[in-house]
Amino acid sequence: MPTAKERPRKAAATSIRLTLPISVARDLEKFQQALANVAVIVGAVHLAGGDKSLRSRTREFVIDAASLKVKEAVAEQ
Amino acid sequence: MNLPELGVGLNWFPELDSVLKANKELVDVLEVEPQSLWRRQKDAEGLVIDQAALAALRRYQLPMLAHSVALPVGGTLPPSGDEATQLSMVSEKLSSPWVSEHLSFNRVADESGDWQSGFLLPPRQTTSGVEAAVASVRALSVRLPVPLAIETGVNYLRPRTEDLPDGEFVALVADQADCGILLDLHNVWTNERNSRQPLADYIDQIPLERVWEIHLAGGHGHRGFWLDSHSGAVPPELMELATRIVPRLPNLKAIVFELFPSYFPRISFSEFRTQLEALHRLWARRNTACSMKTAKTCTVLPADAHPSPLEWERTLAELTVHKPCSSPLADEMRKDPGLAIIREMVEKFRGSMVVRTLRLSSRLIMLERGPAYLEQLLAEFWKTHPPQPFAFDEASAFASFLREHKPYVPFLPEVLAYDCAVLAVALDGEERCVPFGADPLPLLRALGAGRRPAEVAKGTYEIRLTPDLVEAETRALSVMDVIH
Repeated sequence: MPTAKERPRKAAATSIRLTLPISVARDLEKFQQALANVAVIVGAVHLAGGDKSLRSRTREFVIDAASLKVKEAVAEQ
Repeated sequence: MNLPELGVGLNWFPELDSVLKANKELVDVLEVEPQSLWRRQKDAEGLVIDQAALAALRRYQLPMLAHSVALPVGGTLPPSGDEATQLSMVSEKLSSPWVSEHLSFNRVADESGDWQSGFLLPPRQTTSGVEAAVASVRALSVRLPVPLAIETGVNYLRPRTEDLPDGEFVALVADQADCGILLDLHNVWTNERNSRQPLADYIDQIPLERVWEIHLAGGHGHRGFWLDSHSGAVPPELMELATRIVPRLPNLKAIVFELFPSYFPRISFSEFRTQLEALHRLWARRNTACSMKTAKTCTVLPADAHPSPLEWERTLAELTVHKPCSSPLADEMRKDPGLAIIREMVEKFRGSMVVRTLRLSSRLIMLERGPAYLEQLLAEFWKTHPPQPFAFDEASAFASFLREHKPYVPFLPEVLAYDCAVLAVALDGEERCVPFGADPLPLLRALGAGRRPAEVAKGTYEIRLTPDLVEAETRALSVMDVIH
């Protein structure tokens, strides 16, 4: 049983929306692959230092049900 | 009664498809549980028949038998009208020459309403119990387009001194209701192994000319009991007994092998084939030469005994689902080790429904607080919530319980909202948005991989779940789950 000290830490804030087709959400294997693909895109932006204008607004990632590829769409503020 | 000879069959599940196609010449008939074709309508209370699943069944081009598992006819409450209508419709669609249902009970009505026990429970085996069962059999029979056969049930409870013997009880019900018998040899053999009536005595007591169908299955030992778990091949000892019983059944029309889908991976294709070949050898031993017309027998019933069937059903169902229950009968039943077995089977089944539907929430609770804590929460939940036949309802009730009790599990409110939204979108096809106060990406990825979430950033996040074509998934959620 984990102790309170080992519990997950919370870090800095951002604003992200992820659009996930239900067929992906219900299939654990597809779900994992899709989230890994999102993580690659989010991570790439972070590694590149990020774009301050992007950081100030909501970012939206859309997962394609067939390919599990992720597209970043510009979402409303 | 002029029923067709069907031969050797399988209790059908979608997971059987490959086995079935590989052994088609050895399968003469498919036995279908009509409830597996029932779907709950969106935004409505009623049930509908899944036409796509029905069409898939018809593509096998095999005769089909309707074997109901949700309208048992051994109790005082007659089967509900809506469900009887659905059963009748499905049996017509399947062109089933007869319909079978269990000589058990699973529903109780009390001041809290009408509720389910979550398990097919043994009926009261007294004169009043016979009368109640006969009334139930008749009530269902008149709703069906074809004859009804009652299935001989499994009973994990100890025999009671005032009980009619198992075989005699079935004989009285079948004769008085003038119905057929589905002789589940594994059930009766299981009862014998658990210290009830020996199979041989049982066979001597039932009207053999009423046996239209046999069920055979495998089971396994557990805490000193033999369980009717449909977990493998027919035990050789039972197969040997069956070879002596089958020639005594003048009106036998089908032999059906039962195996639950969760055990399919344990049986190889060749073992399955060997099993079917053995059942064909058994089928060849039937004695069609002495076929005779079923005649009603007049039997003088013994004097009635307490408790009444109503009290028996209510007490046993309340104890099964841990409802508060206080009476001399309840005290007596609590001492029966079979009650613990029944409870364990119900709870294992209900637990599996919750874990299957609230997947990530269950994992989060187990990873953060340990599996024993989830079991503790479920045990509390079971004390106040009777079983639900649909997994979605069971999951929704447990989610409400968690929201109300607020157990300390980091991120549980968000993950629970996500799980519930996934279920709801899959079921009704309406888009839903789930807000997260922490980054759902590492959180859900960790849970998906079965890891405890490590570093999760705080922030404003949202997951929008959109519907897409997931007919099979929707079907899996809206299907009725019945333990039997």
